[in-house]
Amino acid sequence: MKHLWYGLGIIVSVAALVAVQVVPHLEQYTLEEGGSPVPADSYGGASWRLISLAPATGENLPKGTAGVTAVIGVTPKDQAASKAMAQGCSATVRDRADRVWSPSRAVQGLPGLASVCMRLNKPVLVPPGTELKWQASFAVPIEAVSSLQVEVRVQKTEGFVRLTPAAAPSGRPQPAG
Amino acid sequence: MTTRLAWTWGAATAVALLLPFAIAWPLGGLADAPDPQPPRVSLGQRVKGHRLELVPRKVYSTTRSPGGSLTGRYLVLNLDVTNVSKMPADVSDLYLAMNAKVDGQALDPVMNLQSREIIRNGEERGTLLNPGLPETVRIAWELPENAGNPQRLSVSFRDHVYEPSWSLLGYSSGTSLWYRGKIMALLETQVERT
Amino acid sequence: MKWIIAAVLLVAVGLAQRLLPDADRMYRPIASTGGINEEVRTAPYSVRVDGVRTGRELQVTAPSGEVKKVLPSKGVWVTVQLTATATKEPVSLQDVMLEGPDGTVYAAGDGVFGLNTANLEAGIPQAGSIAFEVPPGLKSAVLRITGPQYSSALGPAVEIDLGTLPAPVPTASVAEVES
Repeated sequence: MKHLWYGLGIIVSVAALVAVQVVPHLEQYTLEEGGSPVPADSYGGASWRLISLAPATGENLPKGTAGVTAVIGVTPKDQAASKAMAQGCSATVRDRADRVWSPSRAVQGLPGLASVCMRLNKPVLVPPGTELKWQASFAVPIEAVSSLQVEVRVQKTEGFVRLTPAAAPSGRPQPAG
Repeated sequence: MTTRLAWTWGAATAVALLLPFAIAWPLGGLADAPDPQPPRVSLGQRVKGHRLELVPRKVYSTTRSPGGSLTGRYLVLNLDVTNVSKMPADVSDLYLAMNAKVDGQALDPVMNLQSREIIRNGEERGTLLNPGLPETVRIAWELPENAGNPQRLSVSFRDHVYEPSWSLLGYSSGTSLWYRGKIMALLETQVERT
Repeated sequence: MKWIIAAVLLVAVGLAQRLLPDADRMYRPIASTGGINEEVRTAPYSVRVDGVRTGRELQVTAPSGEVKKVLPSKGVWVTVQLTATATKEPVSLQDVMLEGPDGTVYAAGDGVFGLNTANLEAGIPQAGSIAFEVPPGLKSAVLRITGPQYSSALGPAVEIDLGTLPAPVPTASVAEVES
C-alpha cells in the first residue's frame, strides 16, 4: 500500500513539474491549424460573401498553371467589427485535394479594387452596414480550378470563413476595366 | 541488528561521508577554482578556438561610419577569421563571444554596435562563415559623440565547444549544440587614429 | 550460478547501452534520398536536381533578368539547378546545405536569393538554382534540405547525392527568385 502512495506521489509531482513548465507558455503548444470555419454571416462580427471567383491573366505563369481572382464582399455589423477588419485579413484558396494556395503577385487582379479589407481612401475604416469589396488573386494548377473554395482569415480573430463559389470558375479571364 | 548498532553504523557512515567535506570546506577546497589568466595576444597573433580561428589585424578610430556616410565617432576592429569547425557559422557568433572595453569602459554589445560584416575587396559580403574559407571581418562600434579619442581597446574572445545539450530538468533532447567555452585570448592594443 | 547470470546480464546491459545511437543520430531529420535527375519526395515538398556546375566566380541575375552582381570566390562556387514543388501548402526550402565527404557542411551563399528562398506553391513546379561557396578541393557533395521548420529534429528532409563535382568554369550563374 505504501508503494502505491509513493507511485501516485511521483505521478502527481511529475505532472506538476511539467505543468509549471508548460502552462505559462500554453500558447506555444497549440497547433496552429488556423482554427475551424465560422459561419459566413458572423465571422469577426461581419458578414462575408464571395462575389466572384473568375479566371484571371497572369504574368509568366508556369506551364499547367491558371490564374484566378476572388472578389469578396464584407459588411461589418458594428464599429468593433470595422476595427477588427482593419487589423488586416488574408485570403487563401483550397482545392478538393486539400491543397492550399496563397495570393500570387504574378496574377493580375481587377483594377480599382483593394487587396486588403480596408478602404483605399480616408477614412480607411468601413462604416458598419456598408459592404466593402476586395480581391485576392491566385496562381493554381489548372486541375485545381474547378474545386476551389476561398478561405478568409482576419488577424487576431479566431477561426476563418469558408466561401464556396456558386459555380466553378470558367471562361476567359475577365477583361480589365 | 539492534537499534543501537544500527545507529552506530549510521553515524559512522555519516561521519565518513562528511569528514572530507568538513576538512576541505574551511580550507577553501569547495570554492570555484579561479579561471586561469587567458593568454594575451597582440595584433597579428593567431588565436585558435574549436569553432573559429582569428588574427586581430587592425584597431582604429574614425569619424566616418564604416560602410556608410554618417559622421560620428567609430571604433573599428579588423580581424582575419576562419571557421575551423565542420558547420557554418555567422559573424554574430564571433561578435557575441567578444567582450570589448575601450579605455576601461565596457562597450554595450547592442547599443554600441554599428556593424559587423565580412569584407572582401573593400565590399561588404554578408555574415556567413562557411568552414575553411578565410575571411576578413570588420566590427565597428559607435561611441558617444562627446567621447574623446579612444586610446586603448581591450577585447576578450570566448571559445565555443560543440557538446550534447542538457537541461537540469531533463527536457533536453541531448542533441549537440555550440556552448560558450573558456576565454581563449585577450587582446589589448592601442587604437590607431585615421 | 546466479552470480554468473547476474554478471552476464550486467555485461549485456553495458553492451546494449553502447549500441544505443547518440542523440544527434537519434534525432536526425528523416531523409528521403536520391540522385541527380530523380524526383525525391518528402512530406511538404518534392525536389529534383537537374544539374550541378562549379565556377570561380558567381554571376547573380535579378528576377528581371539583369545581371545584379558578380561575386568572386576565395574557393569555388557550386551551383545546383533544381526543380521544387510544394505538396499541399506554400513552403520555402530555406535550410539548404552542401555536405562534403568528410561531413563538413556548407550553407547556401549569403545574400544570394536562390530557389531556397522562393515561396513554393502546391502542385506548381518551380525551377531555379542555389549557390554555395566552398573551399577549393571539395571533390563530391550531398545536397541536404532540412527546412522548413524551426527545429529539424526528426523533421522531413531530402538528401541528394550530387556525386563528383565537375571542374570549375570561369563563371557559374544563379538566377534570383522573387520572394
